[in-house]
Amino acid sequence: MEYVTYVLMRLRHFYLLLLTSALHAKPWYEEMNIGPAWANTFQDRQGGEKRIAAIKGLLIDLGGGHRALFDTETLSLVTAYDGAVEWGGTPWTGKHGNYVCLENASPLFTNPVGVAWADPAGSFADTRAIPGYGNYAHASFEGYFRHGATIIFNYQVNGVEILETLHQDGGTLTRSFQCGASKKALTLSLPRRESLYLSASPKVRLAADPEDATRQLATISASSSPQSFQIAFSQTPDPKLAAAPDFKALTAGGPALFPEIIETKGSVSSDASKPYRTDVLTLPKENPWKSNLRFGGFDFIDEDSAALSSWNGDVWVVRGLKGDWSQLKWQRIASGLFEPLGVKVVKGAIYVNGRDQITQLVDLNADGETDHFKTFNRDCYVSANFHEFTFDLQTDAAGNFYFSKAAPVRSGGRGFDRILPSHGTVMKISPDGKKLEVVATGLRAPGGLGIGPNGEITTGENEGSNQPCCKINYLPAGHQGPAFFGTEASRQSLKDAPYTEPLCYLPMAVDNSSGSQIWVPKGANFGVAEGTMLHLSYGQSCIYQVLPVPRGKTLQGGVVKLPISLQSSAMRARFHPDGSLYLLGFRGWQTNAATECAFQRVRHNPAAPVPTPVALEYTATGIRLKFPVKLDPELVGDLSSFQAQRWNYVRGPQYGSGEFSVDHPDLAAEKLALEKESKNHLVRDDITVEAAKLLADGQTVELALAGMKPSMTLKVTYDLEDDAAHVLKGELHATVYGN
Amino acid sequence: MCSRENSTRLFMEIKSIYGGLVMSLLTLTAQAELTAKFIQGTATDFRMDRLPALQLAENESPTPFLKPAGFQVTWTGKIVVPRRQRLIFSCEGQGTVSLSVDGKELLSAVELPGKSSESTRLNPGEHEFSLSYTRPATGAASLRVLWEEATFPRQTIPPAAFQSAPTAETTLAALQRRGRSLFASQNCVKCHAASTGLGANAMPELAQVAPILFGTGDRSSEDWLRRWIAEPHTLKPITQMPALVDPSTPQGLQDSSDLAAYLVGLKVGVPPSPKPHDPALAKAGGVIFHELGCVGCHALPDQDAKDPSRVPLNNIASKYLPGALVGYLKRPDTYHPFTKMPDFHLSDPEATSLAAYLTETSKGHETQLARTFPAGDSARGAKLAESLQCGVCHPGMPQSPATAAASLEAIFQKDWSAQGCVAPPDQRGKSPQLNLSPEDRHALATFSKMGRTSLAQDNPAEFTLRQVDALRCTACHAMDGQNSLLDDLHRQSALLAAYLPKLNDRLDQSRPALTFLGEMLTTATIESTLAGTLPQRARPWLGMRMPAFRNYATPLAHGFSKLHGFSSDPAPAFVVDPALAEIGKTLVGSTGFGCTTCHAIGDQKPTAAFEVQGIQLDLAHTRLRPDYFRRWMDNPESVTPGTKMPRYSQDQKSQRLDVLNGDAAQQFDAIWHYLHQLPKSGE
Repeated sequence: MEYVTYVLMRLRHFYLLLLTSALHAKPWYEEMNIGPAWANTFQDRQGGEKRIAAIKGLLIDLGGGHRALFDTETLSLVTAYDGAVEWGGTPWTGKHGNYVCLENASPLFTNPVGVAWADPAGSFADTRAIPGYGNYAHASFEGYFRHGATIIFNYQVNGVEILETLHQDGGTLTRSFQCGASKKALTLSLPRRESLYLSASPKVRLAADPEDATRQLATISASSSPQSFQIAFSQTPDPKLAAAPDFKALTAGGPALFPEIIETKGSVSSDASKPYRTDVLTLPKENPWKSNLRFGGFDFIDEDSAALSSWNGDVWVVRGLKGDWSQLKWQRIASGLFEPLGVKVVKGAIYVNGRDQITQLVDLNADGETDHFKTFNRDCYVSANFHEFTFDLQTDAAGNFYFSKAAPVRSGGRGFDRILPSHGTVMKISPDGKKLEVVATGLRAPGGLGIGPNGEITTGENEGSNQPCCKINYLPAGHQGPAFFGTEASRQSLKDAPYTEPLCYLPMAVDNSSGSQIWVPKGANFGVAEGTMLHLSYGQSCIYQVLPVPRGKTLQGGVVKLPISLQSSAMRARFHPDGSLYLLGFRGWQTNAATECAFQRVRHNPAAPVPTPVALEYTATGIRLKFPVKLDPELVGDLSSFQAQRWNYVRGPQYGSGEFSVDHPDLAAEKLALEKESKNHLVRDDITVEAAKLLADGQTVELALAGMKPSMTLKVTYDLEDDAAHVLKGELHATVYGN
Repeated sequence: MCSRENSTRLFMEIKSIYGGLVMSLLTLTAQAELTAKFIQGTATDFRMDRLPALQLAENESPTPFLKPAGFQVTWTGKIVVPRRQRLIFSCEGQGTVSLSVDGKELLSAVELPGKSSESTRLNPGEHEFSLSYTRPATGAASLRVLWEEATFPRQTIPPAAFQSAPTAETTLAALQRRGRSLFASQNCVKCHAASTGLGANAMPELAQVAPILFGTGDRSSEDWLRRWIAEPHTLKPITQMPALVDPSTPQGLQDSSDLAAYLVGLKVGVPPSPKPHDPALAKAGGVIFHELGCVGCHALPDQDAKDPSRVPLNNIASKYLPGALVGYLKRPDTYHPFTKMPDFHLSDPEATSLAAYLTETSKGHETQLARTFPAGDSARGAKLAESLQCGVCHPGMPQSPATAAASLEAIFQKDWSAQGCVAPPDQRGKSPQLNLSPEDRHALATFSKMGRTSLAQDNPAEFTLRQVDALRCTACHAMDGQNSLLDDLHRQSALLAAYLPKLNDRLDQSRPALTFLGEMLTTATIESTLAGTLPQRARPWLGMRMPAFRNYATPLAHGFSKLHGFSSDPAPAFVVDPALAEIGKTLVGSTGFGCTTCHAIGDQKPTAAFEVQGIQLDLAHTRLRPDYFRRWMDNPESVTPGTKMPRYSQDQKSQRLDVLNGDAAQQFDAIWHYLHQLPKSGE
C-alpha cells in the first residue's frame, strides 16, 4: 500500500512537472534563433524610462549575453549591455503599439542621442529635413557583412568608406574600424561617464566635448591611405584592445550559420475535376532555428528555385520546383531583416524589401548563405508606429523598383500618428537604387501592388479613414505625376490633387484586406486570357479576376472570384515560366486564412473551363457579360437567373462607410456619415433586371438594368448553365462611373 | 409661459403626432413579419410575428386572448429569397406541422420531431408561405422552423426572410394589445382591484408598483414637488403619474403645496451631502453622459421637454437635494423597483461626476409654470394624500378604503368611452386625469371590449416584446435591420467628449443587435445580463456598458428565449469528446484559424486585436446556444452585416481542407467541444 502511494506520489510529481513545463513553455519568439544581427525598431531603458532607442536599429548579438545596438540612421552605437530583450512588436508578440525593448537598465554605456560622426563642419547637429527621421547627408549606412557570427558594419562618413566591427571579451567591448583615405579628420562621438573607461589606438585622439558633458570626442586624423584603429570600452580602468581584425577576410564571406538543408515533400493535387488544382509546397516549419515561417514576399531565382522572405526577418531559398516535389530543399540564407514583405530577383540578384531598406543579398563564397547585406536603397522614412508596414517589391520593364507603404494607423484602426513623407505612398526606385520618387500618395494600408505589362501601377487598399472600403487603385501606363488615392492624412505634397478614383470598390464581403495584383503573362495557360489582371484578397483568401472597362485614359470595371482554394491568405503571386501561378500568404492581421502561412502552386486544368465571365461592358441601359462557354439560352431568358443591386459609399474622415442609395440619395445620411461612422447605414437599391438577352456568340449576356447609372458598387449575381448543363453561378461586383 | 390647458393641448398634439409616427414605424416593421392566426375552438386571435416560433409551458397561453389549452396557429405571408435557392425545410419542437410554399405542400401534418421536406427550388423574390402548427394534446408546445441549402447549414429561418402586410384583423388585434398594455402600465388595477387574484400567469406589469415615497424629504426639493404635483405631464410628458389637482384654480395650487409639504416631511434621516461647485467634475461627468449613451432615453439636461419620447433632465438641479442624485444614479431602483432607468453600475467617482454634470447643466433650465404657490400645510397634505388614494400606487402612502374605486370586474361591465378615466374630459367626472392621448383612449376602449380574462393569462414572449418597447432596448440595440435610436441620437452629446479625441481612436464600439438574441444567448445568460450579475463582461473594450434592469430580468429573459422557440430550461450537460476538442484547440490557435488574434481567453488577451475585438472565447460556451454558434461560424456577415469576423467557410466547405475532410460543420463542432473545455472565467 505504501509502495502504491509512493508510486502515485511520484506519478503526480511527474505530471505536475509536465504541466508546469507546459504552462511555462517559452513563446516561439523566445526560442527562435534570429542570428547575429537583427534589424528592428528598438526601445531601451534610459534612466528607468523606456524610449525609442533606434527606429532603424540593428541589434548585434556579441555572444555570451552581450549585445550592442547600432542605429543605421545616425550610425551611432546606441548602447552596449549584457542582457536580453523584453518582447513586444506586432510580428513577435502580436501586440500593437509596443516594442522590443532592450533590457539595458545597467548598460556598459549608452551614447548620447544624435548622429555619431561630425559633419564636414564638425557639427553633430541634426540637419535632416525632418529632425529625428531619415538619412543624414554626410553619414550613410551601406549595409553590413557577415562572417560567421561576426557582423561588420559598412558606412560612409563625409565621403569616407568605413568598416566597423565589434568584439566583446569579458567586460570589454572593442570597436574596430577601417577607414578609407580621408582629406579631413573624422570625429566620432563617444559616451562619457564616471565609471566608463576607454582605451584607443594611438591614431585616435580622445578629448572631452566642451559642449556636452556626456560626450567625448574621438578624432582620427586625415590620411592619404586607408587606416585602421580601435577603441575599447570597459567599466574597469585601462581596457585592453582586442586583436586587430582582418577586414579583408571578414568581408570576403565566412562560415555558414545555417548549414542544414531542410527537405520537405510537396503535396501535388491530382484533382482532375476542377478548373484549378492547388499544390502545396510544404514549409520547413520544423527547423533547427525554430524560425517562425510566415512568408510575405517571394520571387523565382530561376525555374527551379525561389527566394522567400518571412515577416520575422528570414530569407529562405527553396529548390526543386521543376521536379516532382518529392524532395524540396529549403535553405535559410539570411535572417534578422526588418519585417521584409517583398522580394524581387533581378538577373539572379535577390532584393528584399524591409521596413528599413531594400537590401541586396550577396553570397560571397558560394555556400548559398548571405555574406553581404548590401543596402540598395534606404531613403524610405520610417517612424516607430507599428502599422506602417512596407509591402511588396516589383519592377517594371525598365528595371525600376516599386513598393507600397502603409500610413501610421493608430492601434484602434482609427486616426493616424505623425505622418512622414513615405507614409501612405507608392514609391519608385531607379534601377541603380540611387533615386526614390513617390508615384502615389493617399494610401492607408496598401497590402500589395502590381506593375502591369506596360507599366500600369495598381495597389490594393483597406477600409479606414477616407477609405470607404477595400478597392483596386489603378494608374495607366505613362501616367504623369504622382496620384492621390484618397487618404487625406497621407496626401503628402499633393495639396490640390484630385482624388484618383479606383478601378473598382470592393465591399467587405468581397475583400476586407487587399494583397497584390498580378497580370497573366503571355503564353501562360491559366484558364483566363493573357493580360488579365488578377487581384489578391488577403482578408478573404481568394483570387479575383478583374474585368476592366475603358474609362477615358484609365479604367473602371469589376471583379469575379476565381474557383481557387488556398490554404492561407492571398498576399503575393508570381507566374512561373511554366504558366502556373505561385501564391504566398500568411496570417498577421485580419483574414480568414486557414493556416498561418502557405506557399502554393495553382495550375489550370485545361479539361475544366473556368466558369467565370471573361469580359464586361457597360451599355447605356445595362451591362454585357461574356462567359467562356456557350450558355443555355433558356436560363439566360429567365430573368430570375439574375439579380442586381447598386449602392454608393461616403468617403470621409470616418472609418469605412455604410452603403447608401444611389436611386434615392439620402443627403442627410451622407452628410452625417462625414461626422460619425456610418457602417450601420445599409441601403442598397434593388435593380429590376428588365431584359436579358443572349447575343449571337452564344456566350454574352446583355442585361437591361432599370435606371442604369453610375454607382460605386453594382452587384450582379447570375445562376446559369452552359450548353452541357454545367452550372455557372457567381457574383460580379463592379464600379460604374459616369464618364 | 403657457397655461396648463394650452400646454396640455400642445403636448397632446405632439404626442398624437409622435404616436402616429410610432404607429407608422410599427406598420413598416410589421411588413417584415408574418401574419399569425390562432384558432381555439370558436375563438380566434391575430398577431404579426417576426418569425414562426413559439415555446409554451403547459399552463401558458398562446396569446393573452386565448386560454392555456389546445390551439392551432397558421402563419401566412411571403418568404423572400435573394437568389435562386434549392431549399429543404424542417421543424423542431413538439406538435404537428404542415408547411406549404407557393401552394405546394412541403410538410404535411408532420408530427414533431419529424422529417425534413424534399428540396424545393425557389427563384429569387417572394413566395407564398403558410405554416400551420397544432399544439400537442399534453405537455409543452414548441416550434422552430428551419431551412438549409447547399450554401448554408440547417438553421432557423431568420426574421428578415419573411414579409407580410397587416390586415384588418391584425390591426385590430394590435390595438387590443396596445390597450391592454396601457391598462397595465397606467396602474389601473391599483385602483380597480380584482376581487380575486389574477393567478400565476397574470401580466407581470400588473405587479409593478409606483415609486416608494418614504424618504422623499431626503431626496427632493419642496419646490419641485409642488410643480410636479401640479403639472406632472408638463414636467415629464411620458409619465404615468395622473394629474390629481387642478393647478388652474387656487385650490389646486394649495393642494399641490400641501401635498409637497407633507412629502418633504417624509424623511428617513439621510443627511444631505452638499458638493461644492466643481466645473472639472461636471466636465468629466459630461463624458460619462456621452459614453453611456444617455441621450438614447434622455434629452440633454439644458433642454426642456420638447421631445416627448425621451425623459427630460432639465429639472434635475431643482429636484434633487444635494447629494441625493449620486445615490439615485448608483442604484436607481432603490425607491422605485420598476423604474425604467437601469443601473449602470457606476463607481463612486462616475456617479459623482455624472451628478455634477447633470446638476450644473440643468441649472436655470427648469420648467417654469408661471404659478404662484401658496405655503403648504403638511397636515392638510397628509389628509389629501389619503383622500387621493396615493397609497394604492405608492406603497406605504395613505389610502382610504371608504373611497375605493370600482372593482376590476365592475369596470369591465362599463363603456369606457362614455365614462370613467378613459372617457373624454367632459365625460370623465371626478376620475383622475391620466396621461392619455386620444389614440390611447381608443386603444383602451377597444381592449375593454375583450373583457378582463387576458389580464390573467399572459404570454411570456409578448411580455418581452412589450418590454423591449417600454424599456427602450432599441435605443441602444439594433434589431431586425433597424438601427438603434442611439445610432442617430448619440451625436447630440458628442460635443461633451470632443475634448478627448482619443475616444475616437478606439477599437470598434458597436453594440450587439437583438435580432437573434433569443437564439443567441442561453436564458441564464440573458437573465444574468439583465440582472447585472454577470461576473465578467463579454465585451470589455466597449466604452458603453450594458446596464441592469434588475427587476425585469427573469420574465424578460424567458420571453426572449421563447420568442425564438427555445425553452428556458438549462441545456443538458455537454459531453466533450476529447479527440474533437483537441482538433478544436488546434483550429482556434495560431496554427488554425487564429481565433486568439482577436479573441481573449480568460486573462490571455487577444494577440493582435486591431480595429475590432471579439468576445471573450472562454465565455462562449456558457453564453451561446449551439444553434446560434453554428449560424455565426458559418456566415458571420449574415448575422451582423459589416462584421470584421472573417468567414472561414464557403458553401459549407472550410478554408482548412486538411482537417476533418474540410467539412466546415465538423470543424466548427470541434471548436464547440474545445470551447467547453475552457475553464470559466474567474476559475
